[in-house]
Amino acid sequence: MEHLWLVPALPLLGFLVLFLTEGRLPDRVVAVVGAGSVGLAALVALFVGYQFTQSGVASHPQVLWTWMAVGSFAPTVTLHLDSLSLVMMGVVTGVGFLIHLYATGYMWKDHEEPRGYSRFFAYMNLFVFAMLMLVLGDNLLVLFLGWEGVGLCSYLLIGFYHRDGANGYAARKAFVVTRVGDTALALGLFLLFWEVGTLHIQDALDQAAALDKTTVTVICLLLLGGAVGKSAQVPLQTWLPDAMAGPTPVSALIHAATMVTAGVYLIARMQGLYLESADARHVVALVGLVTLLVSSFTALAQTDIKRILAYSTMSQIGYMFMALGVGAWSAAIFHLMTHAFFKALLFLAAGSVILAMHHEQDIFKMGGLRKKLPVPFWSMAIGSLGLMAFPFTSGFFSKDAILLTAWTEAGWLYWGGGVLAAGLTALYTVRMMVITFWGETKTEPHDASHGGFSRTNMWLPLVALCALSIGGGWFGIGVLDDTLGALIEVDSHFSPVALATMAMPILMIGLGWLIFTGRINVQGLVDSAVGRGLRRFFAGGWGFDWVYDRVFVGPFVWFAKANKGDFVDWTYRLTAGVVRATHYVAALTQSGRLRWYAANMAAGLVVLLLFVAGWL
Amino acid sequence: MTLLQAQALLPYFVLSGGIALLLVLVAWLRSEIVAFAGALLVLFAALFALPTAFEAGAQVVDGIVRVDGFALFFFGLFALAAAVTAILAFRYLPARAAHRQEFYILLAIATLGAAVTASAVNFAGFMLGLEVLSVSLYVMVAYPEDAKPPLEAAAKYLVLSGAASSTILFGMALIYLVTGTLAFAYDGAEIARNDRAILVLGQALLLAGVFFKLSLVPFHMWTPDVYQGAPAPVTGFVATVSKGAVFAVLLRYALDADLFHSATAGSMVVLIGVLSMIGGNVLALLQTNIKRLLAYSSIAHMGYLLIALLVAGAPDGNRDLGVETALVYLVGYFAMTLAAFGVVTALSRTVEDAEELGAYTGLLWRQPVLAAVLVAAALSLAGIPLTVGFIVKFYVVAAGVEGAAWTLVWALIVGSAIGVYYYLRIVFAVIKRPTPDVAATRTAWEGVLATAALGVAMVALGVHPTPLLELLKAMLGGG
Repeated sequence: MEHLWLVPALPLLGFLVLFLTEGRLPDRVVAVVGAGSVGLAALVALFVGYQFTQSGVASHPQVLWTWMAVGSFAPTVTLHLDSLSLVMMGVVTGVGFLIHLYATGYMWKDHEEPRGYSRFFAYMNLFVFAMLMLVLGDNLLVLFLGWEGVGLCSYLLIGFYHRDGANGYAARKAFVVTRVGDTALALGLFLLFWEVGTLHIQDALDQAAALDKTTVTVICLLLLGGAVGKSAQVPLQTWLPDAMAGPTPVSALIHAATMVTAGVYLIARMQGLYLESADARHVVALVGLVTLLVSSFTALAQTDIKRILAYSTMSQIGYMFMALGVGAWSAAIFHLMTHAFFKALLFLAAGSVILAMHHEQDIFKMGGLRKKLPVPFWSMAIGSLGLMAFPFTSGFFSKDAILLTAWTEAGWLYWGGGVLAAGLTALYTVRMMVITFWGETKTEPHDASHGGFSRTNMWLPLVALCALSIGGGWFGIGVLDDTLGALIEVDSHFSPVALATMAMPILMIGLGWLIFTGRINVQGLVDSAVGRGLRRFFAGGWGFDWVYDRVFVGPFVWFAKANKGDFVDWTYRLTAGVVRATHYVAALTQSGRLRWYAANMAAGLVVLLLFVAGWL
Repeated sequence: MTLLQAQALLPYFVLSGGIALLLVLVAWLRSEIVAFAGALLVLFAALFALPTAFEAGAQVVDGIVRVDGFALFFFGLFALAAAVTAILAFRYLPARAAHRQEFYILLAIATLGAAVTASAVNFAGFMLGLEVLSVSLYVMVAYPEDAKPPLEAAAKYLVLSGAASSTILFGMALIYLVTGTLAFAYDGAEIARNDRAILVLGQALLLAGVFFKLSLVPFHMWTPDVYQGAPAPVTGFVATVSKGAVFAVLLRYALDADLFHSATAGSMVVLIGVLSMIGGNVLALLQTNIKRLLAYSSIAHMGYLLIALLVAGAPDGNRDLGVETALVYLVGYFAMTLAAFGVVTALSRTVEDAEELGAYTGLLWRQPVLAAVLVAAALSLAGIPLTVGFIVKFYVVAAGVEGAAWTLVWALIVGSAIGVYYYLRIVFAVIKRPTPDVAATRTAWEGVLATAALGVAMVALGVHPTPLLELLKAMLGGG
């Protein structure tokens, strides 16, 4: 396990190479460095993971660097490997590598500027490094640095096509909205540090039981604020759909498989705190449930294929939050893993479709692509099955574990909401699939790949992710038992509740098929006044952006305009003015004359002696 | 003298013997390269003798010097700084002085004086070392033959520093009058109540003189003029070695004589410290001459250093932490200051020194290595993390908090905040796009190499200070 440090070091090295060569490397070399570094990291992670599971130890710390030791202050950079970080590390490097490999094909000749290819992979490698530090760090400082690092990379990559101002706007929006959450997180971390006096996560958690319950709840809620921002949960979810402005591999890696799940990781990592506060757990579950329903309905009315997937990501993370809230800790991480598989697959397949469609993302302009784009079609179909939790695909196991725990631990409300959302998931997924791949062809696809290199690199990850989406659930994640506690055993898979949970997606797939292929005519319903209104309401994401614009952005802009002179600055200007004035006065004493200096020295001596005499 | 004492004194013997040898050699050969290489050789030979001396353990020789880890640490630091100064001066002097052999010998003598000062445990050793150091410095400051500014600076330095030395001497006399011993340490119980006033008076005079040498407010006025007038490498030497030596002996005196036993000295140090931190930074604020700017900055830095003195010496203070802080701080201060003056030296190939900030505009695009070092030095002096300046400032703040020296810690925070302004002005000037009319300067590779090494050291110690801290702890523990 002593090779653990290599896992984050390799992507960092890749980043440094790409960054320092400033795009002077040929694109093929860039591809090898960019994807290879993450691939090697994945191999090392696999090796380390094997050793870890064989060793039977619960956790393995590896000190990399002690900055300095002054008194009791001794900040270290330490990697902490336990089963939770192992799973996260596996997802980040494994899925990360597949997406990098895909991206070598996807971004090939795509870039609008000469050095774009290199810049893209530099950012991607930096992201993987930051994400690994986030999940492997053993203290809050490293965790926070990783947290901010992934935020930075997210910003850089959303705005990757920076020549279009709209993309810059989307990047800024993502940055600012998540910043709201980050502020809460930082406050939570400060408060935690204040209370326990250590930055070390395990030590802090060990002391959690001794803390005042209200304080713990406040800390938990502040941390939740950070998690909500990063993971795009209500009420800070508005940035994620806009973040789809980034290249599709970015959406797959950062905005589906890894970074947006950092909030889930954070809460799971802080399990010791949340166990002490039932109120905080309740809020977590509620946030999950609300997000789940809001985003599922919203997805139903979207027309942009990537936005559908973005809302779907929000809802799936909502499941994870709900799982954390109701106490299904392992199930949340389990779902995080399976979701990474099938959602990455969906995004990458969607990316292939989008490329073939000349960067058209509106599903209503596609249609009939089933025969023409067989690989993306089958990939998307398999990913959809996972997403819909079709029995015995990967998503089925994890979602089932969450919903059944919700039933036993939290009652009918959470279970009912979850099952309803599962139904909606099936509905919007079928809608997306049918409109994109069935019916008449509206745009003729073209071969978007640039030769065999590009095609193979895009094709291979899809196949691998297909396999994972189908079979990924069979892994189980018993390895998490040590850290988070075992999955709650469900009495029987054939109880009414279990059957209903399992049947819901299948029924809705059937219903969706009938509706969207036109066999049941719902046009009247959709065109009614209520239907139109609801449709508009859902399509606009429940009006969150509209409300935020009026409640926050508008007044803030007004205030900024009104305060152009900035009264806060007056304080600083005044201070600066005083210091300047003092400087001018003081500078007068530096006359350069020896007798003046000598006189001053004597005067100083006299003053000093008088001062001393005063004490005597 | 026992054999162990001789072993402990080995570096001093090597240095003084080497100087004697060099004097003869130079008289005979009149060769600049011999003087230069010889001085470097002697300095490094003395450095190599340090471990041997350290093995002898703490040795007091005739009650004049105590050679222990503390003294040897300073010896090493001074020798390294002198070596850097010699390398910087080698290409700098030819444009300014016809006879250059003596410079290197003076440099070695000054180093010896500084080393003796730092190991003194009685007033004789103190005065001896200090005068050897100061007298060499007067000559070094005035070394360029035809230029007026060095001469003016040397005259000012001679007069004012001489006055300060006499103040110190007078203070020593008063102290001797009461304690009856030249040793720093004395038996406080034997002093009659009436004599205490004289003792405190003597200590105040002594401190006033020392504060002058450290250029603390209100005895600071000579600093910018001398810094500006002196040849750049000599300025670096004055700023580091001379101040380091005086601070070392001050620290030792404070500890041996239990200076802060009476509250008088303590409150004096607090007053002077606050004045220096604020005064130095305020004076530097809009300064456009980089040598003067660094002079004011050094006033503030010496003020920060007083925190360590107070923490080490205060009756309820943490002696080990205070001493450790002072030494760490001085290492960082040496590196930053020498690097900054190294850049100034390397850029001053003509008769005029590159003093005005305007000469540094767009340096990054002409001399990337020197520019990077200067930026690192400025950031380090400002105390930005990942430079040694941050580590040492953190140390001082930690020590100040530990020793509850709140007034000084607050003054440090205010002073540092002011300081960022003018340090960043250097950085901005350096990274600005160049104006086309500035002619490209030619620089000596030795100087660039030496400053680059200092730049690397600044960042390396900022990122990974542990080896230095461990070395320090080992030396102090062994002493």
